[in-house]
Amino acid sequence: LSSYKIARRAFLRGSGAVALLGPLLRNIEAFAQTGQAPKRFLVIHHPIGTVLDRWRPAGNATTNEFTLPYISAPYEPLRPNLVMIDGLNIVAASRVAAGPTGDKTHEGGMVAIMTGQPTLGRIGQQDHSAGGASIDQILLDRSPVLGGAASTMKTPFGSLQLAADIRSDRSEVSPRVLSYRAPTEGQSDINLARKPLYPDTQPLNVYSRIFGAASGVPLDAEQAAALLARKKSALDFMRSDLARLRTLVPASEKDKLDAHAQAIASLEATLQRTIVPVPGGDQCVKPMAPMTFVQNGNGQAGSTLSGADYYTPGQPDFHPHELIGRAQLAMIRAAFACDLVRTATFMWSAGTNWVVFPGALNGKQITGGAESSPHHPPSHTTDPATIDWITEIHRFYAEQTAAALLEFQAQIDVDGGSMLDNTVVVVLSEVGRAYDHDFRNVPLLVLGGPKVLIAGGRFLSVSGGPLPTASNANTGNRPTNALWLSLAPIFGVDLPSLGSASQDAGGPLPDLVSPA
Amino acid sequence: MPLEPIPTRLWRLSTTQFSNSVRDLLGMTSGPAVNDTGGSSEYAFFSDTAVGVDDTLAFSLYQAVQAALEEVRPRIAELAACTEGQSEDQCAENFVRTFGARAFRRPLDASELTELLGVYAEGRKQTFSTGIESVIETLLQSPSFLYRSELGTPGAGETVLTPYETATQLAYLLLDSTPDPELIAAAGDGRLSTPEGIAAQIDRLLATDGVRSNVDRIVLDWFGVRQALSKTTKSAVLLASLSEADRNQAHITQELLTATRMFIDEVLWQGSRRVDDLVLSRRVFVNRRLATLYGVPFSGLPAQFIGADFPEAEQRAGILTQPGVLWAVSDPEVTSIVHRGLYVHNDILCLDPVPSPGDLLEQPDIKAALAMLSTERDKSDYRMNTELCAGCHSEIDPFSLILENFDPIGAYRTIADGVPVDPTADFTLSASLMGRVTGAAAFAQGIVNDGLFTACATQKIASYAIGRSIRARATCQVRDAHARFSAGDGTIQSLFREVAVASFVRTRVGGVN
Repeated sequence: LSSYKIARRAFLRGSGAVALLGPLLRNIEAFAQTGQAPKRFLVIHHPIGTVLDRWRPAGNATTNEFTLPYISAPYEPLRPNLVMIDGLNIVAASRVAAGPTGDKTHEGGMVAIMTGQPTLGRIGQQDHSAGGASIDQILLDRSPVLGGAASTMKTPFGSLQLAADIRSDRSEVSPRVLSYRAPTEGQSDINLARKPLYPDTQPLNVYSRIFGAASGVPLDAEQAAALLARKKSALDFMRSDLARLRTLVPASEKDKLDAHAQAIASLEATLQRTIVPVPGGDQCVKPMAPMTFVQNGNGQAGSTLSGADYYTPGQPDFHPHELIGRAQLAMIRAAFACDLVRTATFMWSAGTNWVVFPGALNGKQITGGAESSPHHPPSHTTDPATIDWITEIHRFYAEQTAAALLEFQAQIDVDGGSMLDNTVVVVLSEVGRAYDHDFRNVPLLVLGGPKVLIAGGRFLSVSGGPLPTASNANTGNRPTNALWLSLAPIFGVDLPSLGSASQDAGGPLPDLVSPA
Repeated sequence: MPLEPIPTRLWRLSTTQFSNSVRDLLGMTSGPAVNDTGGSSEYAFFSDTAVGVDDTLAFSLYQAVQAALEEVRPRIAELAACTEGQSEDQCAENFVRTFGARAFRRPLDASELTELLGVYAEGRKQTFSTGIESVIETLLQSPSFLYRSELGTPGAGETVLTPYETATQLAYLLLDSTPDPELIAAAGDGRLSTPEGIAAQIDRLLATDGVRSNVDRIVLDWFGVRQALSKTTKSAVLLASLSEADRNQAHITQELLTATRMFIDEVLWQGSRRVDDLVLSRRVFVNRRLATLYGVPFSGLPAQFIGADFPEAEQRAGILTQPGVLWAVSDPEVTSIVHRGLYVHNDILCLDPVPSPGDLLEQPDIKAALAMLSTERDKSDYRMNTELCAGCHSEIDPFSLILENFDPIGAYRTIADGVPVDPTADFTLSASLMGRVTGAAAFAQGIVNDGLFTACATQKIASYAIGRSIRARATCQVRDAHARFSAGDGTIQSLFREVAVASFVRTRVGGVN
């Protein structure tokens, strides 16, 4: 420990503030004593599928001898941690008999892959209403190790939902949300029944919430204790007000109050961090505060949907989209390191991606010669030159995701090893093939290490399933729920089935997870 | 058919309502900004009754309250309003009682008062001002401030909102903010316990400036202009009348939004004030750029918006043909007969929803046939003459065919796809719309004659008032409110009044479980 850190801990112990902090800040020290690190779960979404033959290796057999082609090549340095899975199909279903399932749509794909359950139905043209909790929330709720309600050692924040951009077609909800709580059953309005956890796109917000807002003048111990006492009395009143309301409301409103109680607890954790710095071990270092990114809904009249483009006219070297995404992923890494949270989802953009890229990208020019274009509108093309241009966008997302995950790999965890060895990361998209929204062979990576029972260095070609393969009408593929069924036991969650019969046909993948 | 009953519930303030309420409680010029970067559902034009407070919002509200406190810190003494000869403790207690009642929109009970005095005392360890600030900070983040209570009086058979809940409902409906002191007083002295008293408060509020801008916003959102404009990129061909430098579509859509708002404001508050004129008026507002784009004579400063009338020959029909609306509901390159038709069907007439085509669009013969047809008109003819499609499209496409004189940005045209436009369609809708109708103006006159537009207006404003989409047409309660409205002067003020006085707006079912 540096002398600075020792001094900081001494300050904490002597300040009287520690009594108010409760057990929350001691997680990381408790883990340090056992010599083990917490397990974590992270889902990273990149938009609009891929170009399959530029993403998966040639040949269609499971192997540990493979060459990653152009789009996925940036993941090469992560090979020891990486399993590329080919042959999983998103399977959409709806609770509405004969209603649209969302098959072959970005909107339906987002909901279907993350919840693995039939939707409540469709709103408007494409927006599909989630019919179940998303996998991250299911695991968080049920796992004894992910820091949620069922965990013995809870994290101050249950889960994080972050994004770099959420601008979506027609302002729809489903393309810009990965995480959902379980829907309200019995609510006939399916727009109100779904429970999306909207992602935050502003890194500084996330930073302030997780690590505490910039505190300005440093407080001495006495000042800190007084300020904490004031904040605590305010929080106590809010809780008491909530308890009073709880006695007055119908059962249908109790979910709302439960979530609100969790929000007050999280606010308390934020205020503690704002007033008293995170103590942590050597691994837990409060990151630098990110800049504030201008996000004005792209100047679109009336839109509250936030994001920032990759390309701005006149500023060829300024890529706020990239900077926001990397800042958000760095925030998740730091929050994991300090054990403030163990479950997170991140999306680069909405499934219907409106981030603007330059018309010429790495020497590839979009047909028509436009100076710039958002990703989604031209993605339905079969024009080879435009597909080459879109390939560069897929490559960009792979480069950035891989670079961020290399930082997870380099992050020293509380057990002295690499954080990536204690983390299950799933990298996915909401469709398989971009131009026609094909749901077969959705691009999927699972990263981790032996401590989370993931043996890397493999290309896993799924076989023996009941679903059609990408190449022809043969069967062999399996539903994407097979992935969630396989991963759940890593976190101590018994998940024998998920979704409708067609959505989990065939059970877990036999070869993904090592025996415990 | 009666309305589906509304359960007792907590209705969270929208972030705008939160900000407006903080502004009004603390006497600020404008309310604090609330970070809402995740966005929310933009469908409902009313605030969402399903939402609560999650981790992210709780922190955003905390930050907003800190920003507000920063701003009012120099005025804490003024807010505390201690009187001569009052002890500090007496002043604090008085402040907690009065400010607490305004923030919670009802008097505090004894235990709340005691607990809040505890909050004050913790802050008072620093200074008196800190104590007062702590109370403000606490109240503005407390659930009873953040949720509109619609729980009624426990124990009664039929649950009716309490007078304080009624004051809250009227305030957020009409002002989009917290009740003013007069409303709270009217709740306290029993005036809001009678229909006459409620009507008197509605009339008082309808005469205030705050109501005007709020009603304009509600009407604008009823037509979905704000939401729809946000995601439309038009083909450059349609903007050919503008110079290269003038074709920034983000700027154009922003200006169209302004122009549409000005149109609504003029019709509803400066002209006849009649709701019907929303679909009958030939008015338009333009700056230099929009004037060029829509071929309207213009003589103002470039950025200035001035009112003008479209030529009679264009057969314009108010909101149905407003450039901002047509820009928003049309596709980038074509009018989209289906989207425009659905818009009239759903938002101008509030007809019962038609089912989505589901897998029909994937049927090989239909898919192949539509792919062969290049014009919107030909595609519509195909749908209207193909048995599987015609059932629904005969209820959608005609509304759009009468709008075919307006291109995908809402500019007038007489030729489309190389052939003269024939804006004619057949209807079996009502007495005035039976048989052949040509053009938007004739159609608009028909829906006005038969009360179809104001019936939909009543349904929309009722939906807004109860925070729930009323999808079924002509429910008993909406029909009654529409009948009362139709017997009156037909103004937007009367429409809000007849909805707000209706008892269904204040009736809830269920209680504590």
